[in-house]
Amino acid sequence: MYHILCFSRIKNIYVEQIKEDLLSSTCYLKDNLKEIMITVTVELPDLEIKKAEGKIKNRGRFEDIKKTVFDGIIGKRIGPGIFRIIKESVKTDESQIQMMLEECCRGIILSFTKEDLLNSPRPEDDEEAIKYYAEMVKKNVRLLNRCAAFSEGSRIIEYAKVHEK
Amino acid sequence: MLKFMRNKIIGIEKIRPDEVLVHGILDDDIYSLEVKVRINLSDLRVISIDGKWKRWTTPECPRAEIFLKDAVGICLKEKDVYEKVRREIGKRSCRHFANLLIECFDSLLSAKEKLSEQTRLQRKEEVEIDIRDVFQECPRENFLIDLHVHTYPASSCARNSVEQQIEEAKKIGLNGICLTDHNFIWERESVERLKEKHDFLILRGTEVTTDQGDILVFGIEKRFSGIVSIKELKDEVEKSDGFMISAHPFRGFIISDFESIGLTPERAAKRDLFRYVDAIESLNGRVNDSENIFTHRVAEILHLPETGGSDAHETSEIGIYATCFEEKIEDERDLIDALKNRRYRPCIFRGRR
Repeated sequence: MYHILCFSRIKNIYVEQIKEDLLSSTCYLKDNLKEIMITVTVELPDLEIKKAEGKIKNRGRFEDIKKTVFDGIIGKRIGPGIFRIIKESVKTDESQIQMMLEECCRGIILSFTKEDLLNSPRPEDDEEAIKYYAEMVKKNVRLLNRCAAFSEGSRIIEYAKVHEK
Repeated sequence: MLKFMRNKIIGIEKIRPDEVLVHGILDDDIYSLEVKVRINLSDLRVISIDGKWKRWTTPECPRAEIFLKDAVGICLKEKDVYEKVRREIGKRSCRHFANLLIECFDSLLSAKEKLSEQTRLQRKEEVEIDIRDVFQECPRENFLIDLHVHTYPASSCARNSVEQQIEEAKKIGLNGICLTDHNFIWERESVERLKEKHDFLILRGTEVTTDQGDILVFGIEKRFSGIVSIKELKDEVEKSDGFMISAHPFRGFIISDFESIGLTPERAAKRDLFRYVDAIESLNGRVNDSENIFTHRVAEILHLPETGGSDAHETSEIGIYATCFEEKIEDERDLIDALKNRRYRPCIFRGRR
């Protein structure tokens, strides 16, 4: 019984550019008990959710998740407040659907973060990188206290404080 | 075109009766990290957490590992526990660690029912089955034959010679043994010589590998090779007026409980195999107690007679179990008559040591 997995889960999220102005974000889950797939289609540049659909395996066969489940998020934009909108408007017995919709939206956001990182002049040198991120915090105060890297005690914040004066 | 991908893998293992280790890995185009969380199963509280970055962005991201300790003590039963993780771990440590932790917690909450079921099964397994409650030891005054004995080199898997096996059988007080080497039948003359030499009852049989499992066969002269169709074997045995016993029909389930795979004696009794055999070996020395008891239950349902044999491949195994006959057996014909007349039962002779 010990040292053998009694439960496994994989979750895969992928974002694809399906048209010049359309992105699709898919979240697939498979574990010992469930198999679910959710896809959200988002229109650029507003990141407006145009379509959401999903399938859930029931007794060995995939069945479509009722379209009405997603009604509350259609037309909404992936931006501030989207996770709250999902939480409040997507009501189903299957709690994973909410979580997977969040993952789809997070995937979209991270796909842009990736692009930004690829295009940014991030220094490889540690000290230079501290300076670079300190400047970023100064320009975008919302980053402050957002995580351990941008909180009190971090070299990035210390550097930003010293050079603010 | 693929723009971004994130994969998460969660594995849960039980490390103590009341404790699990949840291992989570998150790997995407930007970040890569893992956590190991120990959680108490009864109160669903985090006992310890260990996290590690593999790939990150800023030079200060590694600080996030330090603040993961804030998750110790979190109770998964709390209302809005995922919100709490997002708020407290996400902000003090890192939102990607928080994301992975939530996935770990959600997996455990999903798995909990399954884990409870496994605990129930485990407890059931831990109940000691006493084979002596089902099978009896046999009074020494009965005629005791070990109906299932292998010898080397006739059976390449055996360790001891026929001479060694016979000497051991005599020493421990059996009245006779049956040589049942795999797909091999001893020549009548050789066995007669051995009988005379040792002044001991030695009978001939064979263990034939069929498409329905191993079958102990008595009363035939034909040697089989490879995997034999049970129908073909049955035809041959009927022609020779022989006898077929299903040997250890449920051996091999040692790693899983019969119930956990849904096999009940009633269901097992419906197997095609049992239409062809004359008896079932319900005491086999190389099969565990629960499997022997299961076989006995199947035989009871089918009203088939039962035999016992050690399936000895070496001297130390001879006579663990035997078949107890009501009458003295002197030769192969006596054996087959007794088997057909159902005047016997399986018994514990030497038992397991």
